[in-house]
Formats: sequence, structure tokens, C-alpha cells
Amino acid sequence: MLSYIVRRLGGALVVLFGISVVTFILAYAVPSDPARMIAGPKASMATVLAIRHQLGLDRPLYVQYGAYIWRLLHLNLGMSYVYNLPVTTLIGQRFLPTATLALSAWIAELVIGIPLGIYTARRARKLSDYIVSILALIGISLLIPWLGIVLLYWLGFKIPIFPLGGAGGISHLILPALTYGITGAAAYTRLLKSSMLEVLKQDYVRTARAKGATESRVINRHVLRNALIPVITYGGIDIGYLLGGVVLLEVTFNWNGLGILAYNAISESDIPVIMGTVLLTALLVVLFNLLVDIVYVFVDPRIRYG
Amino acid sequence: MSNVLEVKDLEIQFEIDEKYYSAVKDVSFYIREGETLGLVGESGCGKSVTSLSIMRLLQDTAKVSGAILYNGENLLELGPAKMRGIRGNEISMIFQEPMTSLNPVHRIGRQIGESLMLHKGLSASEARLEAIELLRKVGIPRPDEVVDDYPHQFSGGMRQRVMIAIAMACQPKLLIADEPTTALDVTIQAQILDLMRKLAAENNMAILLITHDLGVVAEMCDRVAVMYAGKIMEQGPVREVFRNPQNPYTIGLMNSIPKLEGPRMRLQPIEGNVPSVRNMPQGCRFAARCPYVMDICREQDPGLLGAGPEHISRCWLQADREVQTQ
Repeated sequence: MLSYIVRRLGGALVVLFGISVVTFILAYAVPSDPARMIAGPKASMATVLAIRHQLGLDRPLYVQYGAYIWRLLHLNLGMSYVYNLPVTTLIGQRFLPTATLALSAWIAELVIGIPLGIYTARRARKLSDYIVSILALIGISLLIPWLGIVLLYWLGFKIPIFPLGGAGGISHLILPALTYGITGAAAYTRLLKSSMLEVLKQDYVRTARAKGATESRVINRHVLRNALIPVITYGGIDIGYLLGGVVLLEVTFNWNGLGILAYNAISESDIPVIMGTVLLTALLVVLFNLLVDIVYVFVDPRIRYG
Repeated sequence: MSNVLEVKDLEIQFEIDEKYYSAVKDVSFYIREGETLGLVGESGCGKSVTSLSIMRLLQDTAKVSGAILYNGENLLELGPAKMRGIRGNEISMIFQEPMTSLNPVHRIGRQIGESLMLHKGLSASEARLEAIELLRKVGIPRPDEVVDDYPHQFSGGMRQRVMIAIAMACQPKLLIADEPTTALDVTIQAQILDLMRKLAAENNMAILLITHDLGVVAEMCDRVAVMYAGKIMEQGPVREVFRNPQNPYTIGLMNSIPKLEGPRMRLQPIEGNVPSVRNMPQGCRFAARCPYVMDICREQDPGLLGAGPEHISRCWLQADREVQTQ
């Protein structure tokens, strides 16, 4: 197990190296001049050239990449052109707010999606299954900004139960989490439903019924655990991705997190920040994939890593 | 001795393309306390469906009518909670597929102990101790160690022993064994049959043994019912039916088994195919394949006619014999 984790972490390094190459090349392929952005539109060409030289942007690409990797190895993601602060500081400031938001959004998805998945699997092909499935389809089709604003209007403005955006206590988390939960739950519902329908056909479910187990015991003890693997896979990727920043949610609810940071960086060609946030998202996705593979072992005893 | 189970005029219908078709019809049999009844027939003749209907484990869309009396109580009329109290407690079942019949994510001990916790109110630790004892009874070595293993660590024969341990846990009055040895090697088959026979004798447990193997019937059963296309064709004590088969279908089945003694002869298969559920003949269901077929066979089902003590056969030839003996 331990040697497996070490090997997987080694593999993760290779993936991250690949991602650093791709983002580096993409960032420099963008037809905008960071030096000009920093100097401003009225600055003279001499100033622009000086800044370009100062940032090392006049050196060959591979030298720039080498310098970038060298800094990366020292956990230095460079300086933001716009804020004139280290990228690590910027990410550090925003990681906790984003993590709080991402985690509550994720929990809302699970709390809505998983019970509905169980319910529709048990009621498959009955009227209530169709009704829930249609509602889930509507949920998945709603735009986050639209639903977020509707919820803000009704539950923040008309009936002022919740604050109108911004960060703060738990009350600030409810509406964004609900918004994301409603739009994201359907994926879990459908995944769990189809997986459970597959497990319900298995012989060992018949064995459980033949023992005289109640239907809810059959579902909770015999079906659910066997049906969870695809849900865990998706859930791991989902939370890894969410932690990298939930742009739509952060913009809608005025939440100063990684998503807004990345969004602004893209519109301002703040290349070090773009690369930093992309790399962070990649790292999180890779780490959560590894975590998912480790969780499998506890869910299904047949899975063993040597 | 009284009957543990009595099945009367059982009919099971399934919906195909919005129409109901009978997979099983006019099936009646009984099993006495401690007795083993064999239910034989080809694949698709309705054996397994019959056994699942006794446990009420068929899908909701199946229509079951007639009566299934367990100790005089009609199981078809029991509420779900009462029926659960019987499943795994009074009547247990083991299946054809030992490889897939155990839950892969639970420990063996937990799976054996589950019905004890459900029906006998044992705690988890008491059930675990009882599971070790049951594993010992079904002949699994080092039971106190393997009780915490998972099914994938067991071979097919061992898993079927575990299934038997699960079925025996609450000391049921009746065990339904649906082709328990079909998926196993011949040497393992004999061991499993021996084990079932031994445990049945120790607990005075009746067995409904479903099989397509006449050899297994000869070895295990007191009485046998031969099924064809959803109906019972012949029923009687095993010795009587094997020595003196009355129904052309039973005779055909026996002739299609290779014999080790006597001169070598070609096997005689039964010509033709089983009729489809959607297109059952009006008269005797075996008429199209029967070498002795008469005109009346195609028009009318003869019903089950007496052929000796406890011996009945569904055949028009029997009607003639009955007249002769009277």
C-alpha cells in the first residue's frame, strides 16, 4: 500500500510537469504583452523594453521555462503583474474562502443527490421516479448565476433570511451551497441510480432477501456499498475541481476566492497568476484521484494494491 | 408424518408484451417433515420459478395463484413482515451460483450471522461465535480464522459450504436447494450432497431439491416430481419412478442418460424442442415429442392419474392402464 502511494505520487509529479509545460506554452502563445500591460498604454517603448528585460521576457523560451521550473522547485510561483505580490501569497489568501465554499457546495450536492439516487433506484420505472428524474434534469439545466440571483432575490432581498452575498458566517454559505447543490446533484443521482440498479440484479441481493432482511436493510447494507464505487470516483474528481475555484459561484455571490482571482488574471493577462491557479487545480485533481483510489480499498475488500 | 409444505394448483404467469403467459401451471406437490423431494426437468421447465415462488422472491410483475401451504398457512396470503419472518428462519434457500451469491464487501462471518441477528435477536458478537460453529459444521477448516475473511478468498465449493451455513443458521424446517451442485466439480458435488444429507438428518429438515441430474435424485431423494414445460408429468417414490417409469417423458429422460453397464448403445435423445411459453399446445404439452402420441393427446390434457401407491402420471396411456387394472 505504502509503496503504491509513493509510486502514485511519483506519477503525479510527471503529470504536474506535463501540465506546467502546457500552461507555460499556452500562456506565452497568447497574443498579449505582459510588459505593455504592466507599463500601461501611455508608457514609452523604452520603458516597455526595460520591463521586458527586467522580467526576463526577452530571453529564449526554454531559458524562461528553466527559470520558471527552478522557482517552482522553491515553491515560488512568481510575482503577479497586477497586484505586484507573490502568487503564493495571493493564492494563500484566497484558498481558505474557496475551500469553505467548495466544501459546502460539495456537501450540498451529496446531501441532495445521494438520497434522491437511492430513492429513484428503489422506485425505478414508477411515477415518482419519473418526477424526480425530470426535476433533476431541470436542476442540471439551470445556470448557476441565474439560480443564484433568483435565490438571492427571494431569500436575501424579498424575504431577508440570508445575507446578500459576501463571505462571513455559515449563513453566507447556505445560498451558494444550495445553488451549487441544486445544479450539481443530478449527476450524483443518476450515477448512483444506474449503479444501484445494476447491483440490485446481483445474486447476493437475492441471498439477502432470502435471509429475510427488510427492504431498507437490503438497500443500506447490501446494495449501497457495492454501488458506491462510481460515485466515489466522480465525487473525488468533483471536489478536487471545486477546490481549484468555483468561478460562477464566486462571481454570483461576490465571494473573493481563487475562482475570481483566476478569472481576473485571465482578463488582465496576469500570466504568473494564471499559471499558478491552473497548476494548483491540477495538483488538487491529481491528489484527490489518488485519495479516491485509496478510499476504494476501504469500500471494496477485493481491491488491493501491491 | 405431517406435511411441512404443500403446494396446490400453483400457477405462475409472466407478462410478455403486455400479455400474461403461464410459465408454471397445475403444479401440486407436498413434502413431509424431514423428507427430500426432488424436482427434476430440463432447463426452462419452471423448476427454479416454482422454488422462488415458495420464498415469494419472484419479481413483482409475476402473478402467482393457487396455494402454498407451510404448516397449514398459505404463504401467498402472508403480509410482507410475516413472510420475512419465515424467509431464512423457517424456510431457507441455497442457489446454483455460489460464486456470485455472497456479498463481496462483507465478511463471511457477518453474512452467516445476519439471519441469526434478524430472526433470533443475537448480538453481533454472539452471531460471530455462532457463525464459527456453523462454519465448523459445514466442514470448513480453521473456522475461527476464516470467519473474518471475504468471499473472494474462497473457492466455489467453499462458498457453497458457506451458503449452506447461511441457510442452516436458524435451523429451518425446509431447505430449498436450487441446483446446488450444478456449478461445482464432480468430486466437490458429492461432498456438498453428503453434507446436505448429513445436516438434514441431524436437524430433521425437509429438502426441496431442484436439479436436472437424475443421478443426484437417485442419491438424495425420497420422492421425485418430474416437470415438463411448466407442468408435473410424473410424481412418486424415487425407487418406484426409476424402476417403473410410467410417463413417456420420464422414460425419455432416462434413456438419454449414458449407462455404464450392459452392451454399449447409442444414446436416445428426446426428439424436438420444448414448446415456448407463448405457444403452449392445447392438449398434453409433451404430445409433439412423444413417441406414443395418440389423437386425444393433442386435444386434451389427461390430468394426473394414479399409477401405484403415491405414484401419479400425466398421460393418456395411464388412463388405459387404469381401466385394465380395474
